[in-house]
Amino acid sequence: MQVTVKLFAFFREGRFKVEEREYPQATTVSDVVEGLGIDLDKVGITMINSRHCKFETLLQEGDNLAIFPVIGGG
Amino acid sequence: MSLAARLREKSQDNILLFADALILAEQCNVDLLKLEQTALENNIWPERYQRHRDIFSPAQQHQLLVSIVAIVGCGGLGGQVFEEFIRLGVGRIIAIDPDCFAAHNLNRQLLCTVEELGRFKVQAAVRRARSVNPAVQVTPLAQSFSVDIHNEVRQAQVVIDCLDSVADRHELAEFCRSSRIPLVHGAVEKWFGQIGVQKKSNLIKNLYPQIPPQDKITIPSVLSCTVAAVASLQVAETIKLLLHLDSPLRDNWKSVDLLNCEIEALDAQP
Repeated sequence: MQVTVKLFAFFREGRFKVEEREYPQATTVSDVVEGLGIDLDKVGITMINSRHCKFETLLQEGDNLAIFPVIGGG
Repeated sequence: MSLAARLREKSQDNILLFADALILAEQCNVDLLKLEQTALENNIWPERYQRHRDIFSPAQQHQLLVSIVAIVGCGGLGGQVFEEFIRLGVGRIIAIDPDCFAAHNLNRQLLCTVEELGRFKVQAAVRRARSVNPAVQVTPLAQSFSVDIHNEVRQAQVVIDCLDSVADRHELAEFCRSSRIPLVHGAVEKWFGQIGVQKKSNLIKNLYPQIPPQDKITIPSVLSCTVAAVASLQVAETIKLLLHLDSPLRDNWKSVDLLNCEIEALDAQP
């Protein structure tokens, strides 16, 4: 299935801003995150089609997945 | 003669020169803040706010001068936010930070100078206000945000989150929610940041769903331009809250990316 993955802030470094990617059925958000070499502990918000989602949420064909890092500096 | 009459006598074209304000405050035995407030109540602009005249009404500038805000964390974001508040004429600022300046703060923390190294950040804020806008009243609290200072912070109309710890942000956000004080959130790392306003929502808990374990906490690198950009957005949101102006950022947030020159609205729904 095809999923549009959008990365934010320093998750873009060495990766991409937005990309349409192929995944097998039953792929979860955490599968995508880890597949991109991103440490789950560094992830702040994840959203599917502008709604908050969890790591274990299953992706569907045509979903837009946005992944934001925890930004904590002050 | 009343203070208002003295102000009218001294002003020209509804402008009160800064030097005259200092003299009048001394002659009339009133503090500079009260004098400037009285001037604006009489449609007289203190000279330092002359270039706000096409932006704010005298009543709005007066509203800023009678406002109380609390800045929690006076490092990068907090120092920049503080600087902009004193120049805007926010009348009273509660500045909270337990730390002293170290040389590694010099790259991005506006209140950190070579002279201030080793000194409390909140005391540097007091000195900065004295040199830029002596009318502003600063309450320095050289301690972490905790229950000990809840009563002090409850006086604020807006609290500005300039912290650098997720656990502390959770605690501050919960305090603001239960005290019904709007919280203006900002955070920075490298070229990136985020800005948000929490009024009734659980914005901070949504942004930081998990408190990272101690061994996973890293010290972020941050650029001065990222700090200034995000802090300026926090100040803009604070002005709008204090003056009851609309903003699309109520109970929402935006992602800031200076590397790609983007400010992205997410319109996130829980």
